Amino acid sequence: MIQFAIRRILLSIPILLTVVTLIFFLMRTMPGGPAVAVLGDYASQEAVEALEKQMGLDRPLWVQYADFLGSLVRGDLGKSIISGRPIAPEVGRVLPYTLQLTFSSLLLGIIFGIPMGIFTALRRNAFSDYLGRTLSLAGLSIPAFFLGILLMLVFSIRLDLFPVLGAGDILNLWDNLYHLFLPTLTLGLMMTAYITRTTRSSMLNVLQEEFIRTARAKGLRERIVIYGHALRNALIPVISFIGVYAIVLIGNSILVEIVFSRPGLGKMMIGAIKQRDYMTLQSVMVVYASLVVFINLLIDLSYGWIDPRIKYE
Amino acid sequence: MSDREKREGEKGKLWRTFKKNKTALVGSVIVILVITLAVLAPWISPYDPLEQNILSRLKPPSQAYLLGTDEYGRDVLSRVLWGTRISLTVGILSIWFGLVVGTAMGTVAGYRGGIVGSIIMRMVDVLLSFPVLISGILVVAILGPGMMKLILTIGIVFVPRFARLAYGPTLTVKEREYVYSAKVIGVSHLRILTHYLLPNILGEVLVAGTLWVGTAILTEASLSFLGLGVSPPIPTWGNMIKTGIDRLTTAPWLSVFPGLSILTTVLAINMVGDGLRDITDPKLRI
Amino acid sequence: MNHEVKKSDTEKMNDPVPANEILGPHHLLDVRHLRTHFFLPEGVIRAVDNVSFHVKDGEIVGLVGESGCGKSVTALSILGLIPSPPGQIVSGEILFQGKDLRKMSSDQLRRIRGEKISMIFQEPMTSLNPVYSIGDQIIEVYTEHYGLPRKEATERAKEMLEKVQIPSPAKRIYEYPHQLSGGMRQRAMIAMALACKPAVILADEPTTALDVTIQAQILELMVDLQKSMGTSIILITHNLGAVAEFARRVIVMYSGKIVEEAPVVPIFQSPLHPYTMGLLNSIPKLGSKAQGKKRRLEEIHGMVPSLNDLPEGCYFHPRCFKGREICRKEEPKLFEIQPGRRVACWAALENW
Repeated sequence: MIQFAIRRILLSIPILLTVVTLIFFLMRTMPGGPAVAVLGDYASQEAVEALEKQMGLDRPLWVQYADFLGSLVRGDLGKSIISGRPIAPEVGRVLPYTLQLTFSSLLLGIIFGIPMGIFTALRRNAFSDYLGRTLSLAGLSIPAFFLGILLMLVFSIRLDLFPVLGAGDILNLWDNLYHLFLPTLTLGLMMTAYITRTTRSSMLNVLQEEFIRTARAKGLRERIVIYGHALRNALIPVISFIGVYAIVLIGNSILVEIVFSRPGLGKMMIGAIKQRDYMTLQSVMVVYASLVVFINLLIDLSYGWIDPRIKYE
Repeated sequence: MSDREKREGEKGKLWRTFKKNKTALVGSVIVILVITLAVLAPWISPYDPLEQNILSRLKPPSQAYLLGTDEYGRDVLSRVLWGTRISLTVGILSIWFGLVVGTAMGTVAGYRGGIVGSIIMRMVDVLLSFPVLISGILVVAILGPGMMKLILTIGIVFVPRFARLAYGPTLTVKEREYVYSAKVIGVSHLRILTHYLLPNILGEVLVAGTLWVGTAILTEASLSFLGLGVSPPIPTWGNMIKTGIDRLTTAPWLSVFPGLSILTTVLAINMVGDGLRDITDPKLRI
Repeated sequence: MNHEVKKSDTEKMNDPVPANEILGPHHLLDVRHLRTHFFLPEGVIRAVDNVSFHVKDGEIVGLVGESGCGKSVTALSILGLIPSPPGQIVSGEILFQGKDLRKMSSDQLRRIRGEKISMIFQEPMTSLNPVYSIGDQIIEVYTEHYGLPRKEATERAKEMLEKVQIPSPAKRIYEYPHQLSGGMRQRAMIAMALACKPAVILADEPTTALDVTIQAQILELMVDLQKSMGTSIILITHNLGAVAEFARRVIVMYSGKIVEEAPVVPIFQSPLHPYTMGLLNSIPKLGSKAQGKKRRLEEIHGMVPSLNDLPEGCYFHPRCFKGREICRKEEPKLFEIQPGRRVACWAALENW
């Protein structure tokens, strides 16, 4: 198990490196080059060259790459092309909001999704099962921004219960949660849909297994058979799916941040694109990449820890 | 029973199983309806979707304007109908692109095998660890806006997904006896790929492809909503919501109807896709 | 409603031999006219079709037949483990210690499972829960049926592992199924089944999935434990050699019906039903070539009929070398031709 963990952690490094390199090169393929993107298509050749020199873009590519990696290691995410301000502190300011949103939505999804998945699996083909399945399917079919808008319409506008915009003061817990509620509900409902489906399907698979028959043949109570024997096995693949969905969640969080005008990485990224601030875009992508690699690592490690077949090789 | 009769019998059985799945049937009906609306949009739209009519701005749904009008007085219903064309076109074409290129890549990588194959697949895995939306944003930032570029963007995002989908089964089928025999006889590689490998993995690829059309539509809507996809005045469900959100309190119909269209279409596609998956993978039969 | 006098858990534990509450005309287990059908879209499968037999205290009964003849379904029906839908016990009585299991509440039946009647399954890798240690899987039997606290249950589990001859039980108790060999896994299953000293064990092909070299060991272990505990065993198998060596009586099934039943020696020496004869002939006999006897294995020609497409009359007649007109028309009923010997065959009945 320790061996497995160490191997897996070490593997993340080349993965992260590959991804970051990919981002680096992709950024430099922007049409016309980043400088043109900033100055616009009508800029004169001299202005473009001057800006490129200022940005350090006239140096050989591998030099730029080395410089890029070096700064990353130092935690320097460069400076915004538009504002000239360092990016890292800005990221540091908004990242907690994004993490907060992602994490609480994930939690919501797990808390509601797993019981619902078990519930519908046990009542297979009953009306409540069909209802649950259709609702879950709807949860996967709705765009995150639309769900956010609908919730906003109902809760903020009609019922005037929750604020429409912003994230509130992060230091004030109640204000924070107050602003967190609707965005989390939006993503949380979607996560619940995913997790319900996965849990249901996993439970149904496990319930067909022979060791469930053995458990019943031993005269164990049905409750123990379902929540002990079956669920423990069913949750193993669900855990790894949760990790996959967490990544999808990160993507959707961008949409929710825009809808609710919530500060966060997503809003920062979209802003960067609109303003052709390729430096900020690059750095934000690097942060996202690190998040994704990290989550993947967590999934693999948790799998190794939960499944005794891997834990005790 | 002759071989042909057996195959027909199997196809009939699959069809009957599919029919039994009520959700899949409902989904199919809705999908056909949506496609019909998209095709007939130019003829059934009550108004020109681009026609502005300042006097009738922001009117709620009424007899004259069934779904209301937007801030330029354009009929929302007509715009939603035309938006169907865009969403379906982008969805289907982008998936088609991804399917063709991705499956080819995955099959070749699987067939050739060796180090090159697994390196390609490792790269694919790295690409796949990113969510569709973020990859889409990145690619569209490079390629630029516009409908054609959008199709390419979403297509590119799905190429690695199809590649990975095709890779695994290719490896399995490749090891099967009849493929080995064909090679020994001297059947050309190309023929092996097209006649032996592809038909076997096609089932899975098509099921995933169907489901991913829904994802592609969601992605298009999201990118347009973010202002990175198709821009106004061309109506797409995504950009209609983008402009509608500013008037949520005063004119909610601007956002709600396009949103419901997305939901209905993607939901129907998912219902069909689920049904397809049930018939192709009996182990998962729920 | 039957109210059994509930023994305290300590009393239950200390019983050396399962005590019948009523001694007398009841056998330990008495299956009467059991019919278990499966209702599938293709048709109704009569997996167990009017099967009646009994099992006495402390005896080993062999239940033999080809795959699909209904032997496993019979065992699962006894314990009420038939997946329903699509299966269902349609009619019949299953009398255990005089009481009909079918008429019991699900809770009563559940308490009998694992404690008074337990089952051993064929494939120990898939029949054991991969995420629980084997110790836990034995302990839970004690916790459930005897209400023992965990510490004590653990001690008993270790004792059980010793009894089934698993080396270093104190260590093994924490191991998981995938860490054990096939033979050890089956021993663990036996430990689980015998934990509460049941009156009957249903052993469904307990050695079929094991290495040939281990099979004999496991069977001997089972029989030893059986002798020391006085348990009865229904040994479901197609290993006729095991049956010959260990069983006292043999029941032969074909397509959901019992075709012959006899004590072990008569059935091997002078089988009455052509199917039984065919089965016995297909066992390779060591040294038969040296003795100049036949060299080729004989097989019963034809194929086992699919259970939703059964022949008219006697199910076996299309493959039977003695078959006559009457066999095609009328189904022979199971008849007690001598005390302790039953057979369902016109030829045996009328002595062709």
